Formats: sequence, structure tokens, C-alpha cells
Amino acid sequence: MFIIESGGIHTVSDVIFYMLQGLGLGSLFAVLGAGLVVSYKGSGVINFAHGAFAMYGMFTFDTAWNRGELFLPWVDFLPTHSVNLPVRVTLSDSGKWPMFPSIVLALAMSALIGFLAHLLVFRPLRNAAPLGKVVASVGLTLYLQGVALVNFGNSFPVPKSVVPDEPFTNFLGFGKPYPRNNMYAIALALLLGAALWLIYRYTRFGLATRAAAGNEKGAVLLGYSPQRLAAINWVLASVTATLAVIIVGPIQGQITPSGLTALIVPALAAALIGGLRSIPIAVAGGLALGAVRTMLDIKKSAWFDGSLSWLQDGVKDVIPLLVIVGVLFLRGKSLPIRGTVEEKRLPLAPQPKRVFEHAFVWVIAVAVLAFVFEGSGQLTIFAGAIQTGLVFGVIMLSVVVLTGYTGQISLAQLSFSGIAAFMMARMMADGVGRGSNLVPVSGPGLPWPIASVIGVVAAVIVGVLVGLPAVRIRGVQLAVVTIAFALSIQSLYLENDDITQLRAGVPAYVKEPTFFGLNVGARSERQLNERPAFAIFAAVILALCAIAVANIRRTGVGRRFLAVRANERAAAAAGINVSRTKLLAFALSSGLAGIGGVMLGFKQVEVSSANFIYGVSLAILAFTYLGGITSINGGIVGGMLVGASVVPIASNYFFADTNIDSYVGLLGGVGMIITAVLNPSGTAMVFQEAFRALGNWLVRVIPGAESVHTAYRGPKRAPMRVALAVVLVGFALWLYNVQFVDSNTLWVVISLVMLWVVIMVLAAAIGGGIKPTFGEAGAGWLSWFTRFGPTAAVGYVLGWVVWPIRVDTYSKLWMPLLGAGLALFIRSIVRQVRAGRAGHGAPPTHLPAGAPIAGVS
Amino acid sequence: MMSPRSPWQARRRAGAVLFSLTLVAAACGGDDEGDGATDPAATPAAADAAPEPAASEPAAPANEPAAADGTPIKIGVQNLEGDPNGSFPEYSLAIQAAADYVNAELGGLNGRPIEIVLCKSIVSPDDSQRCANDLAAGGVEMAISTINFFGNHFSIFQGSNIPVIVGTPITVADFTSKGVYSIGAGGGCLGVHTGLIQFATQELPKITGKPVAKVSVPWADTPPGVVCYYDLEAKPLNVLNGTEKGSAKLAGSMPGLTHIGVPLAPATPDATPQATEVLDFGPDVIVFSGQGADCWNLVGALGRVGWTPEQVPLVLSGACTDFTAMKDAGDLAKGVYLTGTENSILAPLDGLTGQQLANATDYQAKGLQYGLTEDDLFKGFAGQGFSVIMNIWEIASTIKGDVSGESISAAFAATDGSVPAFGGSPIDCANAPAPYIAVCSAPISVSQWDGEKLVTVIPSLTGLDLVAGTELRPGPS
Repeated sequence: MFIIESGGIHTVSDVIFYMLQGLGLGSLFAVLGAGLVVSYKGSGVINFAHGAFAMYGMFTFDTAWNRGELFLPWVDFLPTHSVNLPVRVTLSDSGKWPMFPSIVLALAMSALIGFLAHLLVFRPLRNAAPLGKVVASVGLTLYLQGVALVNFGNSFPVPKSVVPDEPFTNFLGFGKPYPRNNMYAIALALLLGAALWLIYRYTRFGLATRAAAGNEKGAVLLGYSPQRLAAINWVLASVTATLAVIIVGPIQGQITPSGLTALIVPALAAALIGGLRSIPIAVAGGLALGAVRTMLDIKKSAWFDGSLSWLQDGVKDVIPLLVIVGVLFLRGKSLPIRGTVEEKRLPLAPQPKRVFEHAFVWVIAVAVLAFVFEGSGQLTIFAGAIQTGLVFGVIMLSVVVLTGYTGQISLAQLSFSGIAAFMMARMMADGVGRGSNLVPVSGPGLPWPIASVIGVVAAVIVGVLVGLPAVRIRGVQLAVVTIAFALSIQSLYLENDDITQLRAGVPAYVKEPTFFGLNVGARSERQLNERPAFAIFAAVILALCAIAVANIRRTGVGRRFLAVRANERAAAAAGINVSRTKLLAFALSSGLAGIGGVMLGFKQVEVSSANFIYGVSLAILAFTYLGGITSINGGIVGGMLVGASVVPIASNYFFADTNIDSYVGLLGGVGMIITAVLNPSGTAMVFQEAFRALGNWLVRVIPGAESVHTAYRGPKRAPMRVALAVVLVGFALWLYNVQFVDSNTLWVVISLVMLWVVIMVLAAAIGGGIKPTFGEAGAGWLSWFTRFGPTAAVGYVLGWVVWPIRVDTYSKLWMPLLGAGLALFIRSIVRQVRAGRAGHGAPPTHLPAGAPIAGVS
Repeated sequence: MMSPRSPWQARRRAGAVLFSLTLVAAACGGDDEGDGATDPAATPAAADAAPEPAASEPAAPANEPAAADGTPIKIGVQNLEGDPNGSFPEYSLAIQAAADYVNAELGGLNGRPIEIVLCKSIVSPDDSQRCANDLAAGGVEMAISTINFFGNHFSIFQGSNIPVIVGTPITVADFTSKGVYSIGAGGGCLGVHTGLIQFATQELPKITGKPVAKVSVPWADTPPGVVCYYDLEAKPLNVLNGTEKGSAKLAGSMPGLTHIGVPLAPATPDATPQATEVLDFGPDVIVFSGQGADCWNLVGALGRVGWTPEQVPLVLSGACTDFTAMKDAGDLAKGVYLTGTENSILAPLDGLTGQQLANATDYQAKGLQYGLTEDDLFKGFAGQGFSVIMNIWEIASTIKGDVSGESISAAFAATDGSVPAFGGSPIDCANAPAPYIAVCSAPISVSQWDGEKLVTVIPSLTGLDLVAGTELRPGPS
């Protein structure tokens, strides 16, 4: 009997056999899915780092067994000269260790990681908003990946099988060989599933866990400690995941720091099939997913031909999506939501003020910097960093709108950017292979403005489609849907040659934009990313987007977004159409992400699906959170934090030769965790405070500055503002074009003195006198030194002393200054955290009870 | 230090600042107009005025150490390091070790010591370009691109007139970009893939005594893998069976030859579906070219569904060579064929002779002496990194007159395969066929793994003729 006959033959016997083959991989999905259910039951966290836990356990096992070494889950940041942190333990001088002790050791390591994750990360976050937990789990993933890379090196093995692996020659009479280790993997999944089910069903611990999952307050009243229960569940989840990957062995392919993390989507699908509640159903779901996925993956052309051929390569990634969306759509509101004692909400979204003014100043500043860095030798890298930061700033604004304002967690923002970029490239294409891509792509050859608009519109349409599930679900469950969407968009569109004519990440060429004949592309004549015109172009686009977002925040639309974020039911009761509001947020957000994607295409001249993989979307969300997810400044600061942007480039520049780049991923992960735990408002708030304090201080310590400042805000503001704009632009032109001394430092000092003289003149002419006077300014300096001097001095000395412990080559100018700056920065954070805990000085973490929802009609 | 700027440049920048203001004005609602201050096309100095390469062979390493004391020549190195998705620090360590060796004992590049400027990159298209920007801005005279998954960085080097040597060519751009010399790894897929087909269809039947009529070709589903499969594996197979026109001597000589392609994405968990499809075709030979662990992932999957090398011969590319994985694979790896270069330096010294012994001895001694660890020494990328610098030194030694990035580029362009190269096949950039103009080394060797070591089966072969006279076929259509 034939199932299908086209391009190949699948008999019923074939289909059954292929499904049986897929049970091996399915068992991995099943156990990972069961682990997700366990950690969710225990603490209400959907752990995106679950795969990373298993990865570290697997590496531990492999390294112990095959190298006789153990690596503890941290790194030694100062490994060279003096005090060394224990990291590497030699288990055997022979380079081998027996298998069973290695398994026990790996399971113990997993238990330790699970316990530490609970103790240091998720316990402090027990009352945090769901987004904080998502970001923390992303941070944990990055941390574990970074540690694995540093500790285990870059030779990633294909694991050896720990169970007999010679195939059955004629399995169940199918007449075909069948992998024997599949049988062990399936047996393990079933046994683990049964054991966990029994534990949760019949033991006191299991019942208490279920009770705490249903009503944490009730569990506390009964005398149980929800946190102790959570710790045990974290350990259990981590250990079962590691045991599964050890038994599955070579079926999982090569062990890499990022490999198992990618299996989180089918594992989530399995967990959702089980309703985040039932382990046996999650196990069965995982096995079924593996079976169906493998069945459709063998001889794909036999399943999907003709008009369906475009499904051939993407279908295996779409299945989890369909399952996730189906489950959530059908029973989204019946899925368990942990009743915690108290749940903090996202930080307040501050009302943007003087946006036009800030935008104007920053565009000018970017223009000045772009010209300064163009063709400036080694410093030219900052020109490219500025371009990158501006482009990602736009993309991160899309996260601010959707997640910061509306509370919808999306892990697919870069997918929207990818759709816009690829659609634009296709609309520009004219059948000729260009750039690094020889594959000719047909297309209408439209000019860039039309092509880019079409790209953005396509992103908006897909954004609305992706947003449809949000009508029924929210929070972390929506995050799960969007991550599955991201994976599907990648394989169904970005890497699908039936649609894009580009397969597997082959790049799409993007023509350079011109503006009334002026080339505003990113590349200069020597093809470096340094053309100031593009930085200005990108800065203007970012400014326009920021102004648009600010306007959204200020109007009724923004207030409706915030109302939905605060409480959907309350918002609906107040007359807000919650579904329409959510879809509008998705549309606006995907439009912004699309604009970012288009700009990214212009910056890179070509785009590849590798630009838009879901892992980067996770990082985008996390970096926006790090910057400050509820504010425009936060989005822009987040853009400056991403790889190849301003902060990493500056770090590489100032820390050259220190090998700090080996720790970037790891430090980024730690930063995200610290932000999620200690400072959910993000770093932008810190910078904002710091900038404000700096501005106020400068006004107090520069003679004449206060007069200018007063006039700027007072009745003479019009002439003062015009004068300042002229001075600013004139200063930039002066600084860059009129240099008459060789020393750059001396030249900057001379220029700053001249600028101050001009300010004095302005103060006298328009400001009505020089204030502060020289005496007052001197007192201001003295006061500053009294307050901050000791901290800065300690930092300076530490910068001078500590760094030589780390490396032999360092800058004796920059390191002490950096130490002083860091000390002041840490002081600022400590003060803000203290103020926040004391309940004054820091913004409240949620809307005050009974606060009116303005703009709600 | 700010560079001196001409008045014209200053005006241009002033104009652009004013233009930025007009854009701001436009953002505030007013009309705007560009000042039309487009830049004249800066013509990078072409490397036409190449110094005449000397006809002599590269100077042999001197007995007496000859330290370099001229003006340093800055060579940029763009390498993947520090990314969980791909990190190869041994590549740059070996390059630095070789540079130190050349500077300390071989007199540098005609007296100019090599100064390595390393840019570590992560696996990201954006970071690939960032590194190229970094190196070009830093004023390097030439660049080494070790292994890069995107190939989007060459245009930046080209724009700055910086020649690029590619150690491990894998992307289409590695094979087709101007000013690029892909000297490592048997020239990448042009040499390796056509060589695999040549060996599997022409040489293997002579060895096994069994005819080959059906070929299964699992292929790496990556950007370069797509082009390499369609243009350099599927196409030559079609040339052989006569379904594709070509001027090869063997065109149409195997009318009954059939083949199947099975894409295999990198780091695929559970490759048994692909393995099943490969075997269901009933092949006489299986051919695969991929990255190390993917090869052994496929081999493991084939084994799990009952395949053995005795039943169906398996031919893998040299990138699959991983002695640990091969030993771990046991009987599944025994008898597998692997391609290589003519002059590999990673092999155990026992049994080597002539130049290969000299080069391998040199590498294994000097590599350790100049900073490589025992662990790193026998990694494939370490050997390639060391060889790249030694090849540059060999080429520079043939230059009469000043050595610079430009002159080294010209000397590479003039190579014709007449001189053996350290750690690889002879370099032959002058005869690179279009569009693969950057490929400087196409001959490969074939060895067989006997469970302990690689045994040479064919010392040198090329399959380039199989694609002669054909049109480029970078995709399925």
C-alpha cells in the first residue's frame, strides 16, 4: 500500500518505520520537556536555559570520561600571575576516567548548577515580572555558554555512546536496521516520565510542589517552604536533562556550547502539550514530535511536491510551532499560572520630555562624531560602531513599544527585521548575482525607497499575524509562541530557496541608498563603514522613530498600551479593546523592527539569514532589558551595547591585549542576571541620572554656564537656543577643520577653552551676567572633590594596581582613569539601589493602586 | 593622530554637516535638498606595477638564524575566536608562532619582520565586516582570512587595496573574489569537490574492482555548501552521465550514472533521516564534504542504520580529518577514504620522506618552540595557520626588491604551481579558472584510514577537467 507516490515512495511500513526511528530524538524532546514542566511546577519559571544546563552536564561527562578532567562552572578571571581561582581539577593522569563515575560526576555537576541557578538567580526573582525571569534565563544561557567555551575549549566532540549501539538488523520484521541506542533512549524517557509522575503523584514532596504551584500562599500557610521545594525541583530538572543527553549520546550530534539550547523549542512544545502540568503527557508529546518530525524529514520531496515544495525544508520547524499555537489557542487560559505571594510588575515607562530637543542635539552630536571618526586611523572603527549602534537602536525601540509599553514578550523581533530586509533585497533584485553571492536572484529592480517601504509593510503584516495568538495568551507563553515563530520564519522564509531563491543563509544583496543624488550608503570609497552621511541618515531615522515612539507614549494609544500591560481585565473593564490594542502594538513594533532591518541591510550591503537567527532575537530582548526596556533611552542604550556597537568596540579598544574579549558573552550574561535581579529599570536610568547630575554639576562649576542655562529655559530662550545651535555646529567645524597644533590633546584643550570663552560672551550678552562667578565655580569644584574625590581616588589607585596583576601590557593612562570611572559608576548604582530599597528616590516598580488610567475611553 | 586633510576634504565635510542639518530640518517638517556633494570615485591604486618575481625557488631555511630588523610589515589576521558557535584560537596562535619563527630565524620577509595584528571575530555577518573595518583602518599591508562563514568582508579589503590570503576557503566569495588568494585546504571546494567526484567515479572502481553507477552525495546545507554541491558535485556527475554539456574528456562517458543529493545542515541532531535517505538510494559510493564533526555525525548515523565501509565505500573531504573522532568511530571509520593536500604537515614523522618530512619536522619543532601547545599542534587549523605564514615567506623570498603587501600580492598572482609549497599543494594562482579566480591550489591527494593512520592511496589528482566548458550552476535551477 502506498501513502504517497511522487518523487519517492512511502509505504505504510516505511512510514511506521520512520516514525519509530524518530523516537530516539523524540526521547530527548520528551525528557527536556519534562524537565521544563518540573522547573515550571517548582518555581513558575519557563527556563530557556534548560538546554544550557544539559550542555554543561554533557561536557562535564565527556571531559571526565575522555580527558580525565573536571571543570567547575566558572572561570578564573585572573589566571596569570597571582591568586588563582580553582577551575580545573585533574581526575586522572592517564587522561581517562571510568564511565560510571563520570556519569555520577556529571549528574552532581548538573545538580549544583540547578541549585545555584535557583539560589542566585530565580529565588531573588521569585516575585519579579515574567519578563525579568525570561531575561535572567537568557543571561544564564549566555553565562553557561561562555564558561563552556573558555573551560572546555573549542574542540567539540560527537559524544560516544554509553549504551550498546550496534543496530538491530531486522527490527520488528521491517527488514531494516534500527539503531539500538534509540531503544535505550526511549526506555529512559518512559522510565523518567513514570518516575517523575510517581514522585509528583504520591510523595509528600510531590504533593507539596503541586500545592505550591497552584497556590504558593496556601503552601506557605501549610508550613511548606516554596523556595526549598523550588530548589529541589530545579535540581531534579537539571539532573534529568543531563542524564537524558548522556544516554541519548551520539543521536544528539556534536556537543557544542550552543547546540542543545536550540532544542528548547521542541522541548517547549512537548511541555505545552503536557499543559505545563502533566509529565506523562509531556513525555508522550515529545516522543510524538520526534516521530512526526523524522517521518517528514525523510524523503521530503515525497511528502511535499508541486505547489507544496516550499514546505520541504521548513516543515520540521513548523510542527512545534503548530503544536504550541494549537495548544495555547485551545487551552491558553487554562494553563497554570503560579499564584505567587507578590508579583512585581515592569518598571514604570517614563513620560518622554523635550524629545525634539534631545533628538536635535543627538543628531548633531552623531554628525560631529561621524566626521571626527571618518578616516581617523585606528579610531575609524568607532565610525562603524556608531552605524551599528544607531541601526540596532531602531530595532530595540520596537522592543520598547511591544514589551516595555504593552507587556507582550516577543522573541521574534529580529525575524521581523529579517523579513523587511529580505523583502527589500528581493524587490531591489534584478536577476544578477552580486557581492559575495553568485546566485542570481530575480526581482523587479525597484528603487530603494519603494523597496524598503514594501519590506517594512511585509514586516508589519507578518507582525500582526504573529500577534494573533497574543489575543488569547500573554507573558511567557507568548514568548514561547514567538520563539517558535522565529524558528519557522527562518526556515520557511529566510532560508527557503523556493521563496527567496537563497538557501541556507546565502546572502541577499542590498543596493546602496542615494538621496537626491547623494550616496548615503554606509561604505566610503575605500569600502569601510565610515561614511558620515550614513551615520547622519541612520541618526535621523532613529530620531524620527524615537519621536514617533515618544508620541505614542504621550497619546491615548500609549496609555492604552500601558493599561493592557498593567492589567488586561482592568483595561477591558475600562473599555479598552485589548485584542485590538495588542495587535496595534505588534503592528507598530514590527514596523519599527522592519525599519531597523532595512537599515541593517544598507549598513551591511548584504543580509544573510544568520543576521536574524532566533538566538540573536533573544539577545536583542535581553540587551534592551539591560538598557531599560520601558524607556526610549533604554532602547537606544541597548543598541549601543550589542556586538560591534559602541560599548563593545570601546571595550576592545581600551582593553586591547587583555584577552577580555574571551569573556564577553559570559560577562554579558552576568550583566543581564544582575540587571534582572537588582536593577530592572535598566542601565539607561543610571546613565540618565548620571547625565543629569553631570549637567547640573557642569552648570555649577563652569563660570557663566548657569546664566546660559537660565536664559535657555527663560524668556530669552529663542535667541539663546539659536545661538547655542550655531555655537555647537561652529565648534564641530572648528574642531575638525581648523587644527593648527599637532597634538590632538592640546588642540582639544585649546578648543574647549575657546568654547568656554564663547559661552562667557553669550552669558554676558544674552544671559544678563556671568553666573556662577569664578568664586562660586571654585567652591563647586571643591565640593565635588570632597564628595567624590575619595571614591575616584580609590578607583584610580585600584586601576593602577589591579590590572598589572592580570596582564603585562596595559595602558597606564586609561586603566587608572577607568578604575576611577568604574568606582564612581558603582557608587552611583549602589546609591540608587539603596534609595530604591529605602522607598525614595527611585521610581516605583508598578502603578500605584487606584491610579487613574488617563486617556482610556 | 588626525591625518592631514585637504581643503577640499574639509569643504566636503562641512557640506555634509550642513546636509545633516537639512535632514534634521526635514525631520521637523521642512523640505530639504541634498547638496549634491558626491565624492569622486577614489581609485585604489592597482597592483599592476608588480615587481618581477625571481625565478628561483624559495630560499631554504638558513642554518644560522637570521633575525629580521627592517620596517615591520603589518599583516592583519581575521579569525573566529570566542564564540560558542565557532572558535578556533589555535589558528591565530599558529600564525603568531610562524611569524615569530620567520622573524627570529628566517630573516622576516626579505628583512621586514612580520607584525601580526589580530582581530577576533564571532560568527556573525556584522562582526565579520567589523573586523575587516578594524584591520583596514589599522593600516595593515595585507590580511589573512583564516576561516569565515560569510565572505562579506572581502569588499572592504578590496576597497582599501589590501590583498587577502585565505587559509581555509569555504565560502563562494573565498573562491571568486578579486585580490583574494585561497591557498589552503586544497583550494576549497573547487579542488576538493571535483576531486572527490573524480576519485569516486574514476579511481575507486580501479581500487575496489567494482563499477560505480550510483552515487549518494550528502552535502553541507550551508551557503558555500549549496554552490559547491550544485556546481562542483552535481554538475560534474551530470557531465559524466551526459545530461550536462561540457568539454571534459570524460563528458558523457558514464551514461548510466545516477546520483542523489541529500542536504545535511551543520550540527544536525539525529542525522538518521539523512542517513536513511542516503542508503535507500542503494549507492555504490557515498561522497561527503563537510566540517569535521558533521562528517562523524553522519558516519555515526550511517552506522546506526546498518552501514559499514566494506558494504559501500565512503569518501570524505580533508576537512573531516579528526584523528580522535576517527579512532572513536572504530570500525565505522576503518577503510574510509579522505582527501588531503600533497604535503600535509600533521602526519606522524615516521614514514615521511623528502620535502614532506622536512616541512612536518620544521612545523612540529618550531610550532612548539614558538608557543603552540602539544594540544594545539595537531589541530588541522593550527597546521593551516602555520603554513599560511610559511607560504607567504616562501613567496616573499622570490621577490626582487622591496617587499610590501602589494608586491606579495603580485607574486602570489604570478604563481603557476611549479614550486612545492610548505604544508600543501603547489600554489598556482595564475591558472585559476573563472569564476573561481581566487583558488590557488586545486590538486588533492587521497588517503585511506586503516584504523591507526592515513595511508596514501593516490598522491595527487585533480577533477578540474570535469567542469571544463560548463556554465556556473550555483543553485538547483
